[in-house]
Amino acid sequence: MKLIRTNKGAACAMLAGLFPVLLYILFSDWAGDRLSDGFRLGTFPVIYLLLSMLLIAVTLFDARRGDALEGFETFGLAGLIRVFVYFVVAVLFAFYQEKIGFIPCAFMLVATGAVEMRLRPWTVIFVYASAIALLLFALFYSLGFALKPIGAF
Amino acid sequence: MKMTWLKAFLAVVFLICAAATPASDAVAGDFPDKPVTWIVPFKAGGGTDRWARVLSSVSLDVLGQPLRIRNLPGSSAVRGWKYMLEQPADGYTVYQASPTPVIALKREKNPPLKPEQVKIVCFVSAFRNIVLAPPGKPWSTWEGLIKYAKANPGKLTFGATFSELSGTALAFNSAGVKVKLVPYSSTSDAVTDLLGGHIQVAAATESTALTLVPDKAVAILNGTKMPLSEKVSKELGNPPHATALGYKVINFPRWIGVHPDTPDEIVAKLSDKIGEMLKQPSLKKIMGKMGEEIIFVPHKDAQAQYDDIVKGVSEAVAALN
Amino acid sequence: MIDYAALGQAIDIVFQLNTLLWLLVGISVGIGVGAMPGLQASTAVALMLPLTFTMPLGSALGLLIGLYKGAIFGGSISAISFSTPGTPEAAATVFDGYKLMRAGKGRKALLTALYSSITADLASDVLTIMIAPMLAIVALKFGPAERFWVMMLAITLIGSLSGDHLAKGLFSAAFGLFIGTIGTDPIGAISRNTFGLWWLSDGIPFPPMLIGVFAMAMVFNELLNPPMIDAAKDQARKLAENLLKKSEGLSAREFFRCWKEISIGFGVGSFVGLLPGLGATAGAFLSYAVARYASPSKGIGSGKIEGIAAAEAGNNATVGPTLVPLLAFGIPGSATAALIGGALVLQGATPSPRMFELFPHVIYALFIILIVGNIANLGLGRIFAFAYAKIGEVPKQYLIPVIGIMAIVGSYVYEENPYHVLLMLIFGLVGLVFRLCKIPEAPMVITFLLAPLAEENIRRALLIGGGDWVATLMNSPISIALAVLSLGSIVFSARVRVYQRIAEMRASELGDLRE
Repeated sequence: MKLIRTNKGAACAMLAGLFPVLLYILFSDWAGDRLSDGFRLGTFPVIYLLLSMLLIAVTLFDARRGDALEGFETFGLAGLIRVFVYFVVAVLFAFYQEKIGFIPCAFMLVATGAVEMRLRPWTVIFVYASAIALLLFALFYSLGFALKPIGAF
Repeated sequence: MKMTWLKAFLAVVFLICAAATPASDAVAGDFPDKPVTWIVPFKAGGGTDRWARVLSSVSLDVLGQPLRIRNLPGSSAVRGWKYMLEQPADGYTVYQASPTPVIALKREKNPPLKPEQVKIVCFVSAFRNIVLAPPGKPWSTWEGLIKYAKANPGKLTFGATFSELSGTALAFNSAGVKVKLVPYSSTSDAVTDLLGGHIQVAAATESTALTLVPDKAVAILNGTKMPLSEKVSKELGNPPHATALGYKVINFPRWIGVHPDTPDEIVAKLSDKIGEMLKQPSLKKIMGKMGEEIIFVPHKDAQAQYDDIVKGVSEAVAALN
Repeated sequence: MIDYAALGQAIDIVFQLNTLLWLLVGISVGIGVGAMPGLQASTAVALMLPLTFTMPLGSALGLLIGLYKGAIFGGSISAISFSTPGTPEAAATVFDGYKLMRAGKGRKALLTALYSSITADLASDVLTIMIAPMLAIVALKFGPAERFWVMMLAITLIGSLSGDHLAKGLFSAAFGLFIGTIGTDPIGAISRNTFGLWWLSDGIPFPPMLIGVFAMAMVFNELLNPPMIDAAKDQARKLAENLLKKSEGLSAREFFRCWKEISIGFGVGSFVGLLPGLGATAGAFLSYAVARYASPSKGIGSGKIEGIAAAEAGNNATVGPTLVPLLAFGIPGSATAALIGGALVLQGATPSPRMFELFPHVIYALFIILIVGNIANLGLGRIFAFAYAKIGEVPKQYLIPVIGIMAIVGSYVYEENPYHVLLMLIFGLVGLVFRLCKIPEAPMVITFLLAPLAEENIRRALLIGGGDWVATLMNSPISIALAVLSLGSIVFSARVRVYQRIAEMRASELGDLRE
């Protein structure tokens, strides 16, 4: 993580992230297709992507390349895991709340957030997450969204 | 005491689960015995959405069950279609659309589904494509336009949304003229550019055409298979009809479909019931106010017409490239 | 010019108990709906549209306009309270609004948003009704090439939103251009750049993207470094104490200090609203960008009420002018205009070029309701502002989980699409990377919003012009003037930057001397 703590390091990481996208477009089966107005389907995406990469490359060499990025000072694996777990729970919520039901899913989501934000004790988490889940359900239900409170297993 | 509470709790849980479990094999006789999910694959507030909401206002009286409208827009109405295919083929999930998804699917190299993956219940209405030109130009009549376009091949600029463009392209092809097709993302953008003189001809639905003729524009052609009603035709200055001119064009129906494996009896019953809904005076009144025409085509005719339209769309899309 | 008989008739329509009552119902529901991220004015209207089928004209217009006005203010409530734009129009309000909220000045921020919205909205309504027919003719002069140049001019303003490191700001803008190409080619109507995923064929939807970049990125950032565990009792007591305290309001002097930003918002918003396709979100961001240029010393962006005033005035000033194409030609220029048009059709007053001749009383009634709606919104809005202002006091351990679930549920219910949640989360990660690397988000949002429109218009213009670039782009005096303005804007922003640099150097030298 030490590497990314400066503008230069972050720029390298981003270039490494964008390069595969460029390769994907250049080697795709659609980018070369010609349209009725003469442009190719890949023209604009490639131009814009190259422009992004060029500009990020500029920060590798400009006067501020060595500037520190304070955000990374406290950046660690534990934090990344918290973000990852929350991400996964949120995706599960999105794709399975219709089957499992809105209330248990919303409860899980709020509880995950609260645990990760170090809200304690557990009883408070339980009461808080239940209350928010019920409240949100009531709100959206009254607005006419046909959410299932508890799904059919 | 504790036991009773537990029992009561379990009973409630059981009841909720039972209510939420879908009923097993539907029989046409008692169809529908629960609410029907009505998928509108466009945003709330649009034309299809308004149709669905008006239908739902009479469904309890006719169908005996309410319609649960779900707006599932996305991917040119294909997302809602995919959702319908993922539900059981029992007639309880109905998909209402226009030719938009058919055209989108025919455009794609790797479409996520085929336009044939549906059983058509019925048509409830149809749009016409009215070709509009500004008044007082050499191309302000259909004959004039053909003459002008033949003298200036590929020069005349014609703007419309993609579906209107593909439909009307067939009429231009039949007439043997080549025009420059300019796609727009909405009819209103195309019409704005027509009024501003940035394009020379545009296509619009009849309701849009009615607001512009005769002050700002002239209707020069009905570019669809279906003739205009006498009243509308008169108000638009009796534009020529593409089919009457012998052109090979297509229809643009508002269609209703279900999962392709749905039993025929259920589809037929649904078709009958929708036909009955369309006869309700309250529905007729609202539709009349909205300027929407009711054109009902039942299941037995609609399926064949739909297959024809799919074929026509393939040709139209090919004509655009 | 004014038809007094029709005006009298319109006043009769508006000042009825039913009309006013429905207006209040509309505003209350609208504020509630707008404050939920993902739910927009059009959602609220669609949900209540069936009610209007059987209503008289006044009540129907009252309800719909009330919903619309309420939803717009509601959007800024959640932008300020949760850093989550409730509606896309409110995204530019997040920058200063949320900072003020966390500083315990939530009520001040909410009231600034309310008052500047209403001021700009009122002014633009009056402007519209006075010169609508003339404005309509001007709007028609803008064809594809002219619209392309307007967007170019708008894009050149991103310089002012780029923060202190220009290359990063421009990278953000270029990245916005790139993600704007994901979806469907505007001329070919074929999917492009979708990574083979069918659900991307419509492109990235704006509300989930904004919610991701603004709200989810913040949640992720907090999850990286959660606060230490305090004693639970202590927290609960603190919360109770804070909820009882009255937070700082907005003084008249402070509000009048924002006159410059509100005027900028009014000017920029009215112009943007007139042109089809740009809409309220562009109005807000552009007005915010111009305001930052106009007064670099005010520190807009660091939690200043002037920033909120510029953004909110900019988005609300588009309301009146977006109705111009509808009333003059029967063509809805925006989603809002389309729904108001729909209501008029149901009432038998179909918008058409002859509308001013045939239904003058309807047009007057419409504008009187727009104006009365503002006043009603003021009253109701104050109550909501008071209630929501407390949110700034809630400790993060309680607040962040709620912001998280609101962002997720909001992007889901926007179109009941689980893939939108996935996209929102991905943009949350993009926003997190931007935050950590100190890359500003605003340029990305602006180019993402404008670039697809710019591409569509220039390609359409080239198609019409037969592929001749020079003749197409310099087709009219308006195009040439806009091109010159765009160039001027680039030169101006470069000069501002140089002067700022010099001023900074001088300041640091002075500091050195003092040592």
